Amino acid sequence: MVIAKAWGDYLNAKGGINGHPVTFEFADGGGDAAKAQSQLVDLEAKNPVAWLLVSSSTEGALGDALKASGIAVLGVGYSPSIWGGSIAAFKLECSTDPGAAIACALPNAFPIATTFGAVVDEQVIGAQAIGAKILATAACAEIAACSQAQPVFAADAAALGLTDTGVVKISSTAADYSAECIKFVQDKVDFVQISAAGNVGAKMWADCKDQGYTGTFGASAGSVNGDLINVKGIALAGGLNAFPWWVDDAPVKEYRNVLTAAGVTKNQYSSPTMTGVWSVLELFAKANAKLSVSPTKAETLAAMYTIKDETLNGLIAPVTFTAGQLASNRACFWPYSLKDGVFTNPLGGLKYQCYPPQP
Amino acid sequence: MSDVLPYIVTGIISGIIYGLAGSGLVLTFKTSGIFNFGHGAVLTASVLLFYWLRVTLKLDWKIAFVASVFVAGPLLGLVMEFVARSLSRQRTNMKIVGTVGLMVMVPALCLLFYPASNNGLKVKRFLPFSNRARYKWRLLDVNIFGDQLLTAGIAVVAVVALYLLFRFTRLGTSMRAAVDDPDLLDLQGTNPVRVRRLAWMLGCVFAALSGVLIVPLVGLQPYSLTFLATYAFGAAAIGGFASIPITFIGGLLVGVAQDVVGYVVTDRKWTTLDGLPDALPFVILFVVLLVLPKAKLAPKSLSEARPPLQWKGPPELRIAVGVVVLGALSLVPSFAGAKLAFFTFGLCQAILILSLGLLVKTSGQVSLCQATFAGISAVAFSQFTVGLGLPWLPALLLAGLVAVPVGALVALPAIRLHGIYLALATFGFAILMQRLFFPQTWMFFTFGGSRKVPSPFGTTSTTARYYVVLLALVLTAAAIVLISQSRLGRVLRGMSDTQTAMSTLGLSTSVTKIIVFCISAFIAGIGGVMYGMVLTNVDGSTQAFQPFNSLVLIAILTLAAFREPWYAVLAGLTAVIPAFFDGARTPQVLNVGFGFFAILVAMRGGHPPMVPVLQKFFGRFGRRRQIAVVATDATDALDATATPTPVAGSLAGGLVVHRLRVKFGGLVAVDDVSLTAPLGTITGLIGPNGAGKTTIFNACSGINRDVIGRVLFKGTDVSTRPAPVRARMGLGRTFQRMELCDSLNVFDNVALGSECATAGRRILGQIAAPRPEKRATLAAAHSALGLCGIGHLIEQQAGALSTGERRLVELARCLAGQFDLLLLDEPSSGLDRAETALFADVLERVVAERCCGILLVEHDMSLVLRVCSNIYVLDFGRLIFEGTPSEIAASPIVRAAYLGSDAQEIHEFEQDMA
Repeated sequence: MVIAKAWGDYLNAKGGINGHPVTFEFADGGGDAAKAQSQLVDLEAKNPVAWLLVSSSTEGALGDALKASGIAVLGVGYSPSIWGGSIAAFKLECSTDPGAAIACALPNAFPIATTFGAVVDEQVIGAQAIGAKILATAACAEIAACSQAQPVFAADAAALGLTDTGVVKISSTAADYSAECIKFVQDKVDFVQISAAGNVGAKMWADCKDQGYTGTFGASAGSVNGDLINVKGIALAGGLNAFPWWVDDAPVKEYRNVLTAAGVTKNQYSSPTMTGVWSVLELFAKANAKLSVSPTKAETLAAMYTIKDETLNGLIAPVTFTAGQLASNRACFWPYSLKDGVFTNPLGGLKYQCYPPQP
Repeated sequence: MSDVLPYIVTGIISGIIYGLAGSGLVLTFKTSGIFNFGHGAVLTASVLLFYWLRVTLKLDWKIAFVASVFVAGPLLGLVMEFVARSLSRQRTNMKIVGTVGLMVMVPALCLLFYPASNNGLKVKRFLPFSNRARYKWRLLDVNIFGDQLLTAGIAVVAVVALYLLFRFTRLGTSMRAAVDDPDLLDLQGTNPVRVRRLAWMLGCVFAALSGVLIVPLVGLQPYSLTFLATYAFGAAAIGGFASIPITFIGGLLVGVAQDVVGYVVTDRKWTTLDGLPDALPFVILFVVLLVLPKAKLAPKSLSEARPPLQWKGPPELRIAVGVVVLGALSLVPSFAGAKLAFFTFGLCQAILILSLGLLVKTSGQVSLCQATFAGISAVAFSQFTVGLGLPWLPALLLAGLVAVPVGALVALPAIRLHGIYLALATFGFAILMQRLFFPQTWMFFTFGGSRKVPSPFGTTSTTARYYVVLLALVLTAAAIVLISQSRLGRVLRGMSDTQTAMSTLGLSTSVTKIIVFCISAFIAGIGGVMYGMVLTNVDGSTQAFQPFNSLVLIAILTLAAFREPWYAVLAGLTAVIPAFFDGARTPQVLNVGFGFFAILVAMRGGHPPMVPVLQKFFGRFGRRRQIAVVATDATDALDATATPTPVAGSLAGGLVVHRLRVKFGGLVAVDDVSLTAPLGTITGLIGPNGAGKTTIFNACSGINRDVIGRVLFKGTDVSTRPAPVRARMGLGRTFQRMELCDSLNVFDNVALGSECATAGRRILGQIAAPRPEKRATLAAAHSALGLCGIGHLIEQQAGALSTGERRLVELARCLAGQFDLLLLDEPSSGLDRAETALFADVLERVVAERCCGILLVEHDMSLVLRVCSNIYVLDFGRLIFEGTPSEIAASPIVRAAYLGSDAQEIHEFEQDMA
């Protein structure tokens, strides 16, 4: 919320969108599906011109209502029922068939970031980028979705000639992860993909260091946040689904400056979820640069389809939205590594990577 | 093999904490008979205090440690003892809810104090030797650190000290005796309450110590900490829920097994089993509960409070309320607006509560895996509709049916377990499913991230979905009401009140348990599909299907007053509360409330009945009913209950006990007793208190089959046959400590005497009675009521009757059954002289006209001498005399036996003889 509010204030200070001040109505579902559905109805009654959906664990429960609303849906979520998905390793593309393994994005959804499936691809590529050869996954034991990526991860590793040693389930209630760490050491694993809550990953990092693990941990997208990146001495790598916040390219500097001026802390803005929110808001503003005097949801929705090969000065990989067509699945990301407290993009600056490589 | 060695070392490190937590758990269980499901909650509360002192107030760790472990631990122990003392008198499901409530309440409380603890709040290592760079050793390729060794040392010293205290001190002996025989302990001058209090204080100190030692590793994360202690359940199971040292070793074994199995599963890439290491403590728990000798799992105390009296409104009132409630629910979409989603989820919750209520409120069984049933059906429904393209309605029914065999599977432990062990088994099953099966490809694991749960006709209208769920709820509620009023309802309530009596009436309670678990699973499954439909997509992390939700459901169920189906409507409404109080902390506040009030209700044994003024007020809304005319003419009555019987005095049809010997541990309660009870006569079995009379009855009726010698009935050796089989062969009994179905009215109690044996072990027979059976039951019940002169009581709830009336109801129940031989255990106890005289008439007429036999245990010698044709005298478990009433009256041996008894008994005996 702090990012959106700061962006809104910043934009309004510049005159808003074509003279229209931007206002936000925020609602926090708190992980409660009933509450989220109810809030959506309340919010729709206020005639919004766009939905901004952020890290919602209940977004799957909102799909039908979001679709029915006919309002542009912006955000950086993962649920295929909203944002669609694809798995390059399995050559699995989304389908509108209700029985399909992976759904396509809602007709009114405008994903800009890597979505389901591709988010796994980026981790394996990220591992390869830092020279890792032997991979493993530590997935949370309590939630089935945590280990959901494992077959994709294994297939990706095989496709890139890397060795995957499989998944270990880790419980947040476990007192100690030494056994799992010793297994990594025995197997000479040099990249452990953490598919669990950040605090669990941080705890595991401490135990693995104690047992002599010298490799890197992998974290992707929204998992790259304060819980993990602030752990002293942690070595992290993988891919980000939105632009890196530490690089010194001009639009990123502007991002940092605006947020810092608005009182947003470094800890708050240092996350791809936050850079993703910034990106989609910028995209919305750009699409609606010629907003009419009395804007409607239909107008803003139509405006989104005017976006063609847009990069926002390098903040996003090129996107094109076409009326009557579902948004294509995003498979581009920014590789990163964190070592000794310093983030780097191996490609440099705002350069990103796509998988499979785009022509 | 050498590859595995490091995992043994790491497993021991984890296992020490399980062992420590388990030891405290076993201590309190052994001494109070209350299994503290909330042991982890006690642990969490101590950690919360430690965090506040150490991190928030920045106090020295030693102060925080002492305050959290040695001050808060004992204080929590005092509170727990107070709670446990109230719970110990209550029925088993209340005992469970009383501590499960803690699991719901404490983590939520912790989140209210420290909202950020949801993601874990770090606590730095504080023990001496925590500098891991300095205090580090290498053993079998594992780095071991000073703080770990110190933690292990503290745990071992604590457990050894506890064991020595328990085993070799007077206090320890008192603690053991506090459950086995508190009265005896009291007589010896040791206050059992004080002993239990000490045990609870020690147990909670152990919980607090486990928590504070582990918090630097886990952090302050309330749900993780609370559930961490559940790993100790597996350790406690290995220790047979009784042995502290074996529990500690069990903790080590659980830790080692987890790490070794984890290694093997990962190394062999057995991806299907990758959830096994984490589920292992619960696999162990489940397996141990299935294989542990039944005697080890016997309840610590058979004494339980009667269920509170329940008032049932007149049918007209219930129908009117039903119409009003349904009307109000139908109008919800017209006014709920954006809050409709809350109401829809509330209806889903009501369906789940109905499924749980059938188990808990109606049948007395406990399930802590109801949410799991719901999740299984939701997935199945998605597979049937999205995967196989089946139409919506057939898919719904099939999805419900998928949960049925799972319910039957869970019922397997229910057949041999009851009470807390059943609750433990179901809880273990829920976590096993979550960890091991939910991530499987055929369950929630899909590439798409979640499973789609379609609505009928593909509707996306929230209003349409609301009405679909409402319809499902109405149908479910109607089914539950029908069940409640059917034979199955009577049987379930009877089993809830007294499983022992139901068995001795001929009911196969194993079949009943399987039936009720299957029906409950089906309904929970339907609720799960409805939930999924409203969510539109479900996955393995859907809250409604998590084990924790099962705990919340049982807490809410306990809070919800009234009979079926109204408790479900009330419980469903709790889901609507957040719609009107939508603060960020509302879920935590609600969980604190649910947990706290569930504990209070459990301590009181349930909701009190409606106050008489209101009963009277609401009673006016019903038509005045004519109480059914009951046959009072004994001849007519006897005709109705008559069964073809063999020739009077026939031993071939009677009971023969041959050289019976019964031992309880080292005590020989019955020694080499042989007796016969022919048909057509009344045989007496007398003796001072503690002579072994009831023990013989238990052996004859099959309640206790762990005996030496033979019991023959109708010429067949029935020694190995279970109680229901013997009952169906025609052997009925009453009980010294009356075993009535207190929540049922008198008529239903008596009717059960007939229909238990009729239903027997037939699944369909237990579910519903065909018309001829209904008629036969009605006739048998009315005639037995008339025979015993209690026709005017038929609408009274049995639990509200006087002792004398209850005796007569129990006798009537026995007479309503088609029994050829009745074992009557002190049936005249509580009757006045006139009633006893009438009672003697009844016995004589029953025997004369039905030609059945009676073996009568009775202290009223005048009654015995009047009605018995042959009498056996028992003393200290041995037969000392047998003869006719006149021989008995003249026997110095018999007199001497009674002279050894208490003065009152001697006086009565002499009066009777005179």
